[in-house]
Amino acid sequence: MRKVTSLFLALLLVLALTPAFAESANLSEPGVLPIWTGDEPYTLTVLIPQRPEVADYKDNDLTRWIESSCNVNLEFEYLPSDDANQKLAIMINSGDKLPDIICTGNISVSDAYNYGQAGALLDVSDYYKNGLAVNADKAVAQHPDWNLITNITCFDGSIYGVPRIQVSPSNETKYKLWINQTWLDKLDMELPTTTEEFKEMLIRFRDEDPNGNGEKDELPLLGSSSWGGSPVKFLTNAFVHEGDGDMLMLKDGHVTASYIQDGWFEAVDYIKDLVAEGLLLPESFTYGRPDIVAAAADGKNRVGCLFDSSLGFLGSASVETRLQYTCCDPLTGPEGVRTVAYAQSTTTIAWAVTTYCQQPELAFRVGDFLFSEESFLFGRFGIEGKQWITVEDYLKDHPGAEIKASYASLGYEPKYLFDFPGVEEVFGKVQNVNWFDKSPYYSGDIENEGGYIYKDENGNLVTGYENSGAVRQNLATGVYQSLKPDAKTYCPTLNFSAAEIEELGEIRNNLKTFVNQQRTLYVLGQEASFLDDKDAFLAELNNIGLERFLELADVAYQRQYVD
Amino acid sequence: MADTKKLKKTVGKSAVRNTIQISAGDRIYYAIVNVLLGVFTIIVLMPLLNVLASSFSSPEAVNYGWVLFWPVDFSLEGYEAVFEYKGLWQAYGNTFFYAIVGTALNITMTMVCAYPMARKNLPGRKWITWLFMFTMYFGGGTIPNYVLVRSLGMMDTRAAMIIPGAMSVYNMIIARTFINNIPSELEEAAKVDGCTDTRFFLQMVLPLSGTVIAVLSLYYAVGHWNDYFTAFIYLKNPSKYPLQIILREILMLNAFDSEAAGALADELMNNQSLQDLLKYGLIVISSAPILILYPFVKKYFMKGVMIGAA
Repeated sequence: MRKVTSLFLALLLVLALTPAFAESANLSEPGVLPIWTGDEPYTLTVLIPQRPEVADYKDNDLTRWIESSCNVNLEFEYLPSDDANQKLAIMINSGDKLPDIICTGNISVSDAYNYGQAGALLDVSDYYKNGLAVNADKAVAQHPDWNLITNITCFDGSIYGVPRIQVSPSNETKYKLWINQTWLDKLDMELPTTTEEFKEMLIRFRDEDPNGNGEKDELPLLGSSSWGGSPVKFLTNAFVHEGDGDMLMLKDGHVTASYIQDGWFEAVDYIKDLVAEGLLLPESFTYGRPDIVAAAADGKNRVGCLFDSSLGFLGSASVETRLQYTCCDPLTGPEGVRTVAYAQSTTTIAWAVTTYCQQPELAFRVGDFLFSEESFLFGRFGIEGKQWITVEDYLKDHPGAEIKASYASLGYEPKYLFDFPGVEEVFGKVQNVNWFDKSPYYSGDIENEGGYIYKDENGNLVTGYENSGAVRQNLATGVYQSLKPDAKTYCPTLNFSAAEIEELGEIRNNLKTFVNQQRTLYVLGQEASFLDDKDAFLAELNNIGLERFLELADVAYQRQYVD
Repeated sequence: MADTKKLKKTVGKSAVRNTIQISAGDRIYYAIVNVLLGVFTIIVLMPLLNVLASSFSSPEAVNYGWVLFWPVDFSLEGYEAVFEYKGLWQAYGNTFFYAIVGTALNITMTMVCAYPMARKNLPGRKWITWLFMFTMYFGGGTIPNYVLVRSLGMMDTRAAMIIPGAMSVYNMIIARTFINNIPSELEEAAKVDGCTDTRFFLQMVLPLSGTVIAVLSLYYAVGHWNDYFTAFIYLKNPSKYPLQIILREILMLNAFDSEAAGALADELMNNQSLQDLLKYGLIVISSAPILILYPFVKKYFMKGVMIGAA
């Protein structure tokens, strides 16, 4: 009953705050462009972090495309690109008059809820219900398991904006293992497939002088704190699934934590053994990216295996060093477990309509217009023919060339070529083509359907590609993706209510810190750790509040994904 | 000739004899102090030298940590990238403007306030002091300040960079203590000659306060120079941004976000190598003017800092 009343009240509030419901006379039917049918383009103001990479937001190809497609005129107000959300919070909390649209790209669901409660942002859930979100509906139908709208829906069903998503298979499985192929060749070995073989390989790396300089300077296995560099995630997943963040998983349809499963304790023991044997280096827990780069690229070929998301970690200066490494597929543990630390790509609120907007429906529909694959191609890469091209068009001009899909291993056909000379003009340089990858968009499968030129029109192998780091990364990603935990095991992102966040805030953080800290202490074996005694570890977890956390997490999960 | 030689010798000898003998204990003491100070200087100097050397090295050398105290593969790539940035010179000008105008205002406000506070015959001096002290311990916080600046119509104006915080109470107290130490006889003598308070302040107090003004100017100027947050919250128009915001943007421009890059990581890696180098170049560019300022203020510095302790 209370829920109904509060929903009703919320609806009343929305109606009260949206005087424009009545005056939608100049708007087209849903799905018809241009959205604004007035004679003059309607002016919408957009608050946006000013990226230094974009020379001019107004005189910009993407801006012009939006303006002409929707018959609107975009005027920009700027936030500093760094800490934009911090400044936004100050503006909203001090009651500043806001522009029509906020486009910072990553307002968190809980912040958006608070801003909505403060009367700054507009709840647009009714627009979704009334079928105004044409592109969002299409996307949800195409990929129902991506939780496109669920991810940005608050616990009470309110939605504060239009999402944005870039699905990157490689980022979803970022904890990858790279093994020094020159060492494997020297010792005449194959890539390991089980944790047992992996350990044997590391021992031979340690003892048999694989870099052949007669010195015992080999570093068999290195991790770091950089993106995808964790020394424990990859290995733990040969025993039990462990994801990022809260390390939650599902078991029998309910939320539980990875670090209370039996397999997890076996994993910790296995990693501890690797450290004790001098195989996994203790520095792995303190090194950052510059340190592993310095160790791996000093020209002495001292590093056997590295954890990292891509081969890019070594920089462009040392292509040879980089190409010494081969990506190793996930290992099978003693109990036959073989999974990966998967983190599903999630949507964020990218285009929020404020309560100051006189035409909220128009503002919302322009956002939905941007939640499309065309907008992804434009917003991420640029203009067709300049920054990207379809494979079909390319083959027309280059008959006989052979194009392969980057993610062929995931079953994708190549449809687009992004590795166009123009793409470097858009990325990492000052440009005027788009908003430097920060506009709202829906990636769909487009990035996965990217291809690379394998043989040119004369049948010559395009050198470098078969060997390039990107191709190795993508091929490996295919294998890693195929081993991702299934829907019965993987716990997707949970949106807690304000009250739950208040209760859990500290507990969540404490649990995470405690588990990671105790694991590191135990694995390094130099100081006492709660993990020395499993029961003490579990007891301490409950002291911190694990039971309550799992209880509320399960409530949130059931609310969001089951009911 | 011989005589002069002899004379010189005697003089030399007597000179030695007349110097105060340093005892063995003192000598050991001085030696230890010198060694400790030497070690300390090296500790302070090493990171500075490392930054300077790194800023003139090649990106690779910086990335792989080869640089110590001398540039490796001398290159100006970092500086080129920084100076290429279009807003840099304007931001530099803005920062100079904020630092010079701001400091001038700061000093005016501070001295004008410190003088009456130093007068023992000021009615309600205790209460006024208490009011000032109160603001040192309790502040409104970011949002009330923001609302205030907005209501005053100073949003996105240069005034917002200068007027809020025009005087630091802490610095005012330093100045007050200094003025307190000007002998009261001087004032009495001036009064007897018919000097007004204003004239006494302008012609006696200010010229006598050169030391403290120099030191406070440095404090204030450094504060303006490094100020990031004020500009961050009050300014919107990039043409008014100071150096600190632009420096952060240049860093971002060359930052490499492997998460965002995704499958394009390989091609975009070039930028990553430049980023570490840029950091060093930016440090040198942004701190050079202030470092150059220090030696000129140094002679006042010892005295000025001592006042704070009094």
